[in-house]
This record gives sequence, structure tokens and C-alpha cells, in this order.
Amino acid sequence: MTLTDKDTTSIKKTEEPTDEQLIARFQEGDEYAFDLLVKRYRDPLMNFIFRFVGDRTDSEDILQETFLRLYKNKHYYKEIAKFSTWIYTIAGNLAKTELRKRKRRNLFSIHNFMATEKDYELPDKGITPDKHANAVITDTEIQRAIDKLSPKFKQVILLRDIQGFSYEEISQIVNIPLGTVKSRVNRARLKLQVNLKKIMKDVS
Amino acid sequence: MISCDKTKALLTDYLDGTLEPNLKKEVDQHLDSDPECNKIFTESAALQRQIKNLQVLTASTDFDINLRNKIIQSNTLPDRQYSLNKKGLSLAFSGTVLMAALYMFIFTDIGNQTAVDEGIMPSSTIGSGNPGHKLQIPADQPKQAGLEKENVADSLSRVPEVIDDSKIHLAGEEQK
Repeated sequence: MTLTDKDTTSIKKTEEPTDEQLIARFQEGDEYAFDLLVKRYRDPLMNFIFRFVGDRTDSEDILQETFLRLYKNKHYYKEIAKFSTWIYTIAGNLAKTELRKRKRRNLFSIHNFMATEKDYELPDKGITPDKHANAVITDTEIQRAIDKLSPKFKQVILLRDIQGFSYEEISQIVNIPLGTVKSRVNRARLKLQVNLKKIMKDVS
Repeated sequence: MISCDKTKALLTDYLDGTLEPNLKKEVDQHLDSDPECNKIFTESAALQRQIKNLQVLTASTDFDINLRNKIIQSNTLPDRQYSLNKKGLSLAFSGTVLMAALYMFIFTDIGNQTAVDEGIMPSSTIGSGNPGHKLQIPADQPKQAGLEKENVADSLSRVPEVIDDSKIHLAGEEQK
């Protein structure tokens, strides 16, 4: 007996449920569905949050808080929105809150005047030492340029260029009109370029 | 031909390849004639590629265990929060009552009634904003002070019982 395309598709569906199916199952009390969602979104969200706040420990805390909110507020999710946009909205808002807290802390902290440059812990890709060193420098410089962006520009550029969301999805996540998303991404790209040039000038 | 600013505003659409053919042609023409804009577009395209290829950071290996622990902890948190809120509320209530009592004591005349009764504080000063003030009699003028006290008593006792109408003159009325 041979399987038709329809059969293979249905098997694939049963093997890999969609995010929306998983959250629906979780809303009905299936804890395993929650674990699957965590497994699916843990790393992409971690990368997004890390690029947003620039610190590994804070990123992991925010990631935990994101999933905790998902766990506690599962019934607030309605199927009219995609699950991915919902979870990225939560993570983005928490990351923005963390940046606001830091800004407030820096205003009143003496360390503000003695601030050293941040170290970015980037994963080892197992390449040769000199290539690795160059890659770290490049990534670090880009991360610094991203860090210099204001949160509203940072959020859209990360969602677009790193997470690969469409403009429509970004519009839902950030809750701004589509036209504003496009112009914001455009301005963010130009600003990022200016920031990077300044950083390169400082380095040289 | 389109301006630099308009060209820059179309950067994202240009890089995404979503510009209409006619508009793309105009942007290309501008980029050919303006090396500055051309440089911005080229560098931005390169930067976009670099950002897409940034190394991906992953969550730590014990993330799932830590998350599970946090969820378990949070399940016991509401009760603790409730009791904390309860304590906070009772403290706030006690504080308010204390403040109100203090306010009453300082800014009202409770406790000054004896001073009025004893005649050392004229009743007209009640609520005058100087509640603790007592009428002080200087030691070197005891007689004068005594007179003043007597005069106050006189002014109260010398109200005539029968009023003579002929002594009352209304405004505009001629005197007889």
C-alpha cells in the first residue's frame, strides 16, 4: 500500500502540531503541550531578547518570565492572533521594561560615570581562532550599534532582520500600523548604519 | 528625478525588492548619479546580511529545570502575596487612624476647653489658629491686669435690662 500526498500531510500534521493547536491543548490542561511550546520557542526568543537587552543573565530571566506569563495567562490567548506574535509581544514588552529599569538605575547610579564596555558572550562556532576572533569583533560591533538604537527602532529591526517576521506580523506584535512599521524599519536601518560608522571610527 | 530624502525613505522597499518597477528605475537612476546615496544603500544591504548572519545565542541547558522551578514557586506565591497585602492594609489603616488622632489633637481645641472654663483663655480665641495660647498677666502689672479682668466681667454684667426707644436713632431719622 502506498501513501498519497494527503496521507503524508496528515501524518506530518499529527507529528508536528501547530503552535495554535498546542496552545489550545494547553488551555485544556495539557502540560505536555506547554513543554513543546517552550522547546519550540526557547532558543529563538532567547536570541531575540539577548539582542534586545545585550546581557545573557537578564535575557534568561526575561525568557523565564515570558514563559511564566504564558503559563499563568494561557486563557488570555485568543485564536484570532498567531501564537508567535502573541509570545513575541510578551517578550518584547518585558525586554522594553528591563531597558527602562536600567535607564532609571543608571540615572541614579554612580557607576554610570565609571561604566566599562560590556562583554558580549557569544557562542563558539568551532572555527579557527583568528576567524573566531574576527567574528566576535564583528558581532560585538553590530550588537553595540543595535544597543545604541532606541527600543522602538531596536524592536522592529530585530523582529524583521533577525527573527524574519513579515511587516504585517510586526505590526501585530508592536501594535502599530503597517505603514509606521515600514517607515520605522527604514529609519532603524539608516540609524544603525550611522551608529556602526561611529563605532568603527572609535575602534580605528 | 527623485530627491535624496525620498530615495532614502525607499531604502527598505528597495532592499526587500518590493518597489514598483517604475519607482525602482527612478531609484536606480538616482543611485547612479549620487555616490553618497549609493554608498548608503550598498552598506545598508551589507549590514542587513551581517545582521541576518549574527551568531545565534541559545538558552542555557538547565533553562527548562529552572523554568519548572519558577512555575512551582509562583503557584505558592498568590497566598503569600495575599497575606502581605492584608498586613499592608492593616498597617495603612492604623497609620491613618493615628494621623487623624494627631491632627485632631494639634489643630483642634480639644483640651483647651478647661482653659476657657477657667477664664484664662477668652472664648473668642477658639479656632483662632493659636490654640495653645493662654492670656498671660505680666508680674509687674498685677493691678492693671486685675482691672482688665474686672472690665471684661463688667461689660458682660452691664447690659441694660430695659432698652429706651428714644435713645435709639435709626439712619436718616432726625434727632428729637
